[in-house]
Amino acid sequence: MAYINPSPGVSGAQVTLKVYRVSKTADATGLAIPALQDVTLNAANDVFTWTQLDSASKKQVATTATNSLSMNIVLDETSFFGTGSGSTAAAKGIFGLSGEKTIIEFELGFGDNDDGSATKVISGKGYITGLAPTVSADSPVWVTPITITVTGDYTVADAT
Amino acid sequence: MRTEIYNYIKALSLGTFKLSDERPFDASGVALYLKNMKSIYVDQQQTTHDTVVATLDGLTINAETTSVRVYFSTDAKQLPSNYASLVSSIKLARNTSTIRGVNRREVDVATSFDEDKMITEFEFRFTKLT
Repeated sequence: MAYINPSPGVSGAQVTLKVYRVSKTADATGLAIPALQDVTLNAANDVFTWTQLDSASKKQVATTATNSLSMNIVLDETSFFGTGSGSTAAAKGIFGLSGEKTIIEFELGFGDNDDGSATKVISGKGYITGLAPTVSADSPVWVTPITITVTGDYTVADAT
Repeated sequence: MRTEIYNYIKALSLGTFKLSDERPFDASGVALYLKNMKSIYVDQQQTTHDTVVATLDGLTINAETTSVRVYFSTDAKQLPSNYASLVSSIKLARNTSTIRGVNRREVDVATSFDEDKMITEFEFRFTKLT
């Protein structure tokens, strides 16, 4: 048994999130989202509930899931606003991908295990939503939450 | 920061007080500001770092706080007539425009007694992100 124990700042062992505009096939390079502060992967099944006269407890069964990724990042000018030239995720930037409502493909790398072995990568497709960049006098660095609203299932694969 | 605070105080009307170039070291076990009453001493600046933002890719954003202490002593039995106005003026050094890029400017003023001398101590703190 190995605990998933990413190492911040260590290439190949840290948590990574990469997005591709439309698909990984259409956008070979993608955009690695930097300065992630935290990441939450939501996989919330809906539940159908009913009662029966021969049971003292309700019966429940999981139905379709609502999936999303939510995270907070420190704003980096290049990745947030894009390079401006082209139609890739890197060119559009996070703000551009949200504004044009383009479907993206994402890959979330979980990092490294505590025994040094590579762990899993979860991928899927969705839309960037929930941007809310904010700055304050007490904390004068721009940060923003990001939500990737996932359409369809997650796919789990070994990290390469 | 020490230079800016020193220059600010140097430009004030100090009355019977004077500003010393020296740091407030101990001379024969006695702090200079106790030996020389009504002499203002600006101490060497100190710096501390606190992590404000930590990220999963190793980027850290720190709050760097630079503090500068200023000392002088007066006769505890009878304060100089310009004591209150001088303290108010020195406190305003926190707003000096020559110190830039900081998002927080603070000053604390405290007094203490050593026999028949009253020690007035200022602590200026300036915080910026690095």
